[in-house]
Amino acid sequence: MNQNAAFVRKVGYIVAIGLLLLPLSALSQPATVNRRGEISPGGKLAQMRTQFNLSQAELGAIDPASETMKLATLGLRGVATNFLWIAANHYKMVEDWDKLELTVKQIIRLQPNFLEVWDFQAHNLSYNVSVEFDDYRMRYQWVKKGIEFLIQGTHYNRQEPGLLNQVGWFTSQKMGRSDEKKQFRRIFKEDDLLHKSYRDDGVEVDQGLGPDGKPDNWLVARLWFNKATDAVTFSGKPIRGKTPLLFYSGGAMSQMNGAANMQTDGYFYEPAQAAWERGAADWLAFGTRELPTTAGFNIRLNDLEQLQARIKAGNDRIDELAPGARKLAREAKIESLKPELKAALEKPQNLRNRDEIDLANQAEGLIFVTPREVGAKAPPEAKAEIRAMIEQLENDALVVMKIASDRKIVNFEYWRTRCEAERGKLAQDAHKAVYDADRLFAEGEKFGEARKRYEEAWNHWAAVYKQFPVLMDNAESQDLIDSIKQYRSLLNQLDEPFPVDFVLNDMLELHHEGRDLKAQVRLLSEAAGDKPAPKRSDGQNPPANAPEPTPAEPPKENLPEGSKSETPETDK
Amino acid sequence: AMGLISYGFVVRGLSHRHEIKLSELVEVTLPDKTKVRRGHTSVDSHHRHSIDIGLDGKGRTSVEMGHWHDVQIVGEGAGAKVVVGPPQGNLIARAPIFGKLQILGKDGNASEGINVGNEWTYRGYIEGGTPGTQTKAAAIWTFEGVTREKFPEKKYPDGLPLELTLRVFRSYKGDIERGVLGEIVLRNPDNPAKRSGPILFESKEFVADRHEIPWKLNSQAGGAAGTGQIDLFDDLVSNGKLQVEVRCVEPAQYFGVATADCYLRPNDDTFEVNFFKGYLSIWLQMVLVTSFGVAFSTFLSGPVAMMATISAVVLGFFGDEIRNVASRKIEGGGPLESLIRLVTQQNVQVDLEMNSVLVAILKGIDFVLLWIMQAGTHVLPDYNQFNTSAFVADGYSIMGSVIAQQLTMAAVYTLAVAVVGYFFLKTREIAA
Repeated sequence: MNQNAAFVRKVGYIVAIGLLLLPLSALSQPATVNRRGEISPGGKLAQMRTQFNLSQAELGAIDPASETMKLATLGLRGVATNFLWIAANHYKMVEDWDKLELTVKQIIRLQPNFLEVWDFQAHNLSYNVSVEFDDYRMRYQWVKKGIEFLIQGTHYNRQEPGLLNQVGWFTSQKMGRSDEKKQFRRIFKEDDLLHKSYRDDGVEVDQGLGPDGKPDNWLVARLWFNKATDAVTFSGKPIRGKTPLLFYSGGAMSQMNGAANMQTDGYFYEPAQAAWERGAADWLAFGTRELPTTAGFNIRLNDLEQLQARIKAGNDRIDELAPGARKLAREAKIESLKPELKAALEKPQNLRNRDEIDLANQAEGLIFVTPREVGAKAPPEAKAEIRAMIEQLENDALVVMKIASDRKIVNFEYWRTRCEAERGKLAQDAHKAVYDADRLFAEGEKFGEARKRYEEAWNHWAAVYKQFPVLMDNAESQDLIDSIKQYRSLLNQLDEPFPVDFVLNDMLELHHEGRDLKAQVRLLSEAAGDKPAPKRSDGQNPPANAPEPTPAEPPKENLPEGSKSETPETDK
Repeated sequence: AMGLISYGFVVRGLSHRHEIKLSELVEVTLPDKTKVRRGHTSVDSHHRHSIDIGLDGKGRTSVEMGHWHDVQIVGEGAGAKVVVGPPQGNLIARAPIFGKLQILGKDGNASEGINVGNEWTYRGYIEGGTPGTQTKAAAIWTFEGVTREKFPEKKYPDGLPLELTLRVFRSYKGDIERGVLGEIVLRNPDNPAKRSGPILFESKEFVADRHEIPWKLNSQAGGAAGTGQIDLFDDLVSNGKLQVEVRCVEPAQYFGVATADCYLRPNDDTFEVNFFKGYLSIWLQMVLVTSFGVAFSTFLSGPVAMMATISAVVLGFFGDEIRNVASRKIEGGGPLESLIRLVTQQNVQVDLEMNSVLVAILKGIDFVLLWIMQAGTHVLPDYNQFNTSAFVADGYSIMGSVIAQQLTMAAVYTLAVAVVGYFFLKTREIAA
């Protein structure tokens, strides 16, 4: 009887175990994909992991290697990672790239959620390893490996804004800014495998097509930047490794760079204008976005003008309530300035030297009269109203200062103005003329026509700069200076001098290379002595078919020693 | 058995097929006016190949990941399809003949080559320029055993098979659509005036850049007027020796060279034989470990013998490391000092923060321990000498001399520990 009871009990246990397996299975069944591609969401736990992005494994593709390695190291993952890291450095040193790649993959299997590892090693592959190859095709492959590595990182760390942003950064900056950008961009357009990899990760490259109907790295990168932005919005994960200001500017910057590159590639007017239109919209949206700052409050870059107007109105009202108080306070402060500061301030702006400019700026800061100081000198009946305004004005001033400084970091005004300028026909005419002229010059034929197109271009650019002077003082103008140098070479070949009163002299003056170019022209002109370069009273260049001017450039062997130099010291 | 299984793994791991859809091939005309059908294979095993199929329906894919496939169109009309063959060229065992390298600097004197800023000094770099006028820098390899018997013209109708694996360093961007230009000159080591005209080439990195040097050469570039043909063996080879001079001809660009970067490549060895040689090395390692284990077990108890065997393996594998610790090339001190530093988290570059007398005692003990360990590394076999897996993996035949060296080492050590073991056993028998 007893034996029988024990047997029954055991059977009962086994049945209970069997029954308990059913709810256990329902809870913990993994998500799977069958051979026909049908997806099973798995048990409750798997569904919750998917819902809350807790799962490292991709759907139906659990990574056993990673888990095994982590278990096999018996808690010494950190030590193992260190050894592998040392090995990776060694392989890099001895140029064993395949082993480096494998070692890096081992490291991330051990530390799949250590985000800096993804960042660091992706940069290693795309930037450090790629440059070790002489062939740009091989370089491209390694840049691509770095990007694919980052994409793999997004599988282990879903909706991670930093990694998504980095994919955008690599796709835009590494492909579009490196020395091999021309070749990289060309290969990228045809790289259907990379496009497929992007598509598999939810970035539809067809939304980033250039005017030739093929994916453009800048425009595709914009999609990644936007995906990163969406990840912050929808997953609530923090931005890592970048300030919000730079993080959110990526998409719009990429769009604008894409538009600029269309023009470099020879696409003007409608496609370029449409791209700039989109860039303008993106930039406006970026300016409207609320950005957290280290100062503890949020700002919107577009608010600057509105806030400045509000401050002005407030100050005007204070001045109304306390007439003359601001002037008195300012005069008192001027009187208390140190003599050298006072002297610098009193000197007319255009006569100040570099030191005096600094001193004057310092003095301006010291004599600035705050609303609170005006309020202190206001008549008693106005004090209450002024006091009520002061706090708002001081807050506004603080926000304005922060916005102004952040605007400088992303060159906000420049890009806003450029978007406006580039959408006009004049800028497109200017780009096209430069492009045509550069092409004609490179072909080494039709120099007359090239010169004509160059001169049309300079006049167009002069008009653009007159309308949008902010465009002159920017690194983007460097490309134009390169073309101006070509124009100078062209004139040399035609045995004609570069005009001393060149129509874009103001722009050249703002750039180091431009100043060099001007100095060379001046030296040659002075060396020529008797005849200055052609100068026109209307400030325009002489037309291509103008009568031949007297040669202002003597044979080089007759020049003084210093003037033979290609890049004379101009800053002396 | 493990060797056979792993061979199966290797072959199976590399084996793959691709598909090509005939309808996706596009007809293109090559610069020489021939028409081909161009396209891509499917993506399998993380890669794909580009393919040009001639009008005869045959073609070969591009080389990707070290292999290619033969391709053929079979059938006609609607039933025509493209058949892609198995991968070829990935299981190889090159058997190169290496030469002795001499680098000449810009002034024509012997040099180690320029260091272009690499931490790894394996390669020296030679500066480019017009040879003789702008620079005299060159890399000269002297090969021995270059005979008609080894390189019969019938077997090598295209010429002497030479491969280069140079590196390139550009000091300015230049034309990146192509490699940096260099030239190869063959010369007689006993009479350097006897030389071939320069053979121009474009650099290719990280691949074995194969050149077939014609048996009949011009003594001037392009066979300039007044110069006749010279014969490679009759005029340039002297007592089986031949010199190959490589120069970079683009000013301010550089070629990186090392001894193994230029070699003659007659017939390859069989991969399977090379694979076996790789396993032979591993087996010899196992023999040595087992021999030491047996020898230790003759005078130590089981667990202690196992620990002693593991220690011998560790000392054998990390001999260099231990010698560097002993000679203070690696900072941090001996076993005791490094343990204290680890536990107390003290930087290896600062003096130990402890009582000076205690430190002196610790260092004294460490000195003795390190001396024993260092002595052990000299006595025990260097197991790294038995690692030939890189040869097999990189596709190079393991040289006979390496195998002979390993066999000798294994035989000597096995014999020595067998004798030691025998006498210990004998002593124990006597004691019993």
